[in-house]
Amino acid sequence: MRILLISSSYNGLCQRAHVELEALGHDISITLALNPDDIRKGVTFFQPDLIICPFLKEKIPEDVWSKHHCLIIHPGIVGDRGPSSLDWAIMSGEQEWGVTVLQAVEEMDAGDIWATETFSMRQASKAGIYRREVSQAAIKAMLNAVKRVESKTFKPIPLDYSKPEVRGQLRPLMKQQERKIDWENDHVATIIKKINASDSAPGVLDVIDNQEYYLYGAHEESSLQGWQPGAIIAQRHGAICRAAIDGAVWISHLKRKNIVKIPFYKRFLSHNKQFDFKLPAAKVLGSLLDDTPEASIDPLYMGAELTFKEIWYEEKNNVGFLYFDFHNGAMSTTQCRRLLESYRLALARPTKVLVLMGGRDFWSNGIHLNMIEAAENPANESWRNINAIDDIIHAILTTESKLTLSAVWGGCGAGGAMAILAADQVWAREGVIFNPHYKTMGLYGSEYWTYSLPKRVGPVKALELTETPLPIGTKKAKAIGYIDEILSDHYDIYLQQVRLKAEALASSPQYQILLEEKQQIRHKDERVKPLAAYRAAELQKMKINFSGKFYGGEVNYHEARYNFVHKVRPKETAAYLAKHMRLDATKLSELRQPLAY
Amino acid sequence: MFFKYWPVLLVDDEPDVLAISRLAMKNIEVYGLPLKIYTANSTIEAIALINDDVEVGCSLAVAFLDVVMETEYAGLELCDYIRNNLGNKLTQIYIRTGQPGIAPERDVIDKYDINGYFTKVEATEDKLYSLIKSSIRQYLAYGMALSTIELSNNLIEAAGSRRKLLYTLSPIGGLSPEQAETPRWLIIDGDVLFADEIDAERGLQLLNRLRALEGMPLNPGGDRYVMDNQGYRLIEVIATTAQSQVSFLFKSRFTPPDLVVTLMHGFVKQLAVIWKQSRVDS
Repeated sequence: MRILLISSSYNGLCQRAHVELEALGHDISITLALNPDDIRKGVTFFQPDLIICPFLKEKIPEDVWSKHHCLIIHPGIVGDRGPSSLDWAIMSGEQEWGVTVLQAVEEMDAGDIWATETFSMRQASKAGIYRREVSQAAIKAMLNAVKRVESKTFKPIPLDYSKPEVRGQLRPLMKQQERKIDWENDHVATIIKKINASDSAPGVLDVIDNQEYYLYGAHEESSLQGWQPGAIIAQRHGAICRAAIDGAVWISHLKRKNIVKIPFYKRFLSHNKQFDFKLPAAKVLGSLLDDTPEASIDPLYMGAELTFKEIWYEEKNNVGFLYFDFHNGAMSTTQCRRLLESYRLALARPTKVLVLMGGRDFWSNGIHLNMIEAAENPANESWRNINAIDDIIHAILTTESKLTLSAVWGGCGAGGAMAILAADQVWAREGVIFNPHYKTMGLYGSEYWTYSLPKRVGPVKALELTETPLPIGTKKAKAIGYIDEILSDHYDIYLQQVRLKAEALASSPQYQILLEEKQQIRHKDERVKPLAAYRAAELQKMKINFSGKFYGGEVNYHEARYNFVHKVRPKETAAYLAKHMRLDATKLSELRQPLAY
Repeated sequence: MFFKYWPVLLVDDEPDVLAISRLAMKNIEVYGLPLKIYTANSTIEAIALINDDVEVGCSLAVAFLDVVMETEYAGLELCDYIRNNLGNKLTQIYIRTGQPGIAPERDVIDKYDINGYFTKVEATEDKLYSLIKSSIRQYLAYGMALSTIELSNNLIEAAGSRRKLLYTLSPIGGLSPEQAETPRWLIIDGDVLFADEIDAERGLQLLNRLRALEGMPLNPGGDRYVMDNQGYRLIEVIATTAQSQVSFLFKSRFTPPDLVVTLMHGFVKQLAVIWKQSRVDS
């Protein structure tokens, strides 16, 4: 079928829908819902058999939904309606939630039901649940709905609130009033629930030192305590710990409220920096934390206590598991340096296999664009950050004392999607989406990608992956050699698979041979072209991205980074997504070629 | 072409040597631009500086390196780091040693990719002056040549598609941090690339003003190089059936030497031909 995806942004769910539908042989084009005319243009040019909206905040024009078969993926159970579905589900402590695929009609989320899936809720941020449970259920329900549309016999079920199984209801937009934390009365569990229900957008609005901030990234603390609820009692790696009536809670990120957004070029030429985007709390609060003590944590933390930690380590049966859970997968210079220290400590442990587990939502997305944007000199900070991330990857690539594995549960993009390749083997959860390219950020890229990527997928595929900034799913990734194994989409089963397979590798009679082979290959590769030469060539290209003096400075990266950090919407859907907008010259020239049998 | 100053790195473990060199170089100007001097007391400190500051890491014009610092060959290791770990073949590296016995001139020049070698006894103020001048000239010419080749390669790769050409050209015509003081415009067949309305209008006004001035012919075909007294410069390639009319208009803090103008003209000319032959695509 010709399927047009209409989405508010090309987010993770839209990417996965794109990848999954294309893998089934459907012809897919995408239009971002930037304005009604863009949507109409997409529909007119592409003439879809079916329209699917995986993530839509806007209304579809009536002339589109009334004339075309149009399905909306709604992150709520049957009967649930409104723009704050997940927020309400978290806030009201729902044990089970779901995703429903609805026919688009005039009334929002009130159309006939094509498919629905449910899942168990867990304690996590809204974005975390969206990326894991909602995405899995949404893809399952969407594929089910597409099959039903194809069958042409399925009759969608009208929404009928009189049925006992219809548990959902119409709920309004959740306002800050409902999200607000009452520090004098709210318990830690309530505070965490409120922040979770608003994370990553819009955040919980709160006041710190007479200034309004949105709060993000809540973590429970089990030992620190303070007398004054709401007071900042400690800081750690950019996060702040605030006292509550029954304990304390860590808040990792803040965003200042009430700053007028200024256009890119004006900000670019001015030196007055205002942080009106999400950043580590300590970076936003600055000197306010001068007297706040740093609550240090072991760089190879192995404890089980509840606290804020970005890096931790587990060990069992000769296998080490190094977790690094950085917010949104972005790794700043200091985070990279800490990770390198932890990696070296993990290497010194008496294990045979080291598994790089990444984080719960993302394995890694490369350099930290928000921190770079907030730096005094973004070009310098970019340079430091890329060097720091390169140092980690160099350490992984040159590890000779044990076998290394990348176990990818969360997605990864840009530098992170190249970093996974530094390990000897790459295993990934079935639903992972990889974005192994830098072009959308206007960068050439480093992370030794010019060594690792062609080595795995060959030079032709390496160019294809990096030149066209499209996501790839695990099936394609495995077929081209980008990853080695596909594991379960269910977290507990996935963890067990990783453990068992890693342990099997550590106790394999082949272990010593594999280790020696790896060393030999590395030595041979080093003789052919030293790793330093790959890095040097990549950094020479990156330097043009950061600052160039002979013919001018590169602007693509600085502008793309600004737009990314400030969530500036593109003016139009990129040509590589909007297939309907492409001048298909290649197909025309193919027609002129004699057929090759 | 858009330098504000020339970044120079001095590495020496003797504080006096650093201080005297700094003093001797304080007032040197090359093409009318001052030097910006970075110093480090050891190779480790220099590498930390290189990793911390993109300018030292990537845009150094000249480096003077002592040999014997934390180790007997620390300075030579630093030279190796700059050339091979950073891939920087452009910076003019001079070895300045107080103990030529440890690293004899012939051994060093044979083994390391350096631009010169002298002893501290030879390092008079005049010697430093002439070395700085000649090395920055060399740096600029070599850098412009390499950048032009790189741009040419990119143009050839993008040839055929104007969308790809625009992506390739954006570092030149696009907005950049330095642009506030040294603006630049690429104007092809009357269209100002990358500029918003205000910038485009300003560019076209300047273009008309410079076109009215007498310029230097660059070839018999009518291409010209024009400069005014405010630092604006225009390299213009004339339209023919085989090429578009391309104007590269920019402001520079210094008057580029002839070789640099020739290189820039070469690039503009290539662009004119490739642009004409490329299709309009979305």
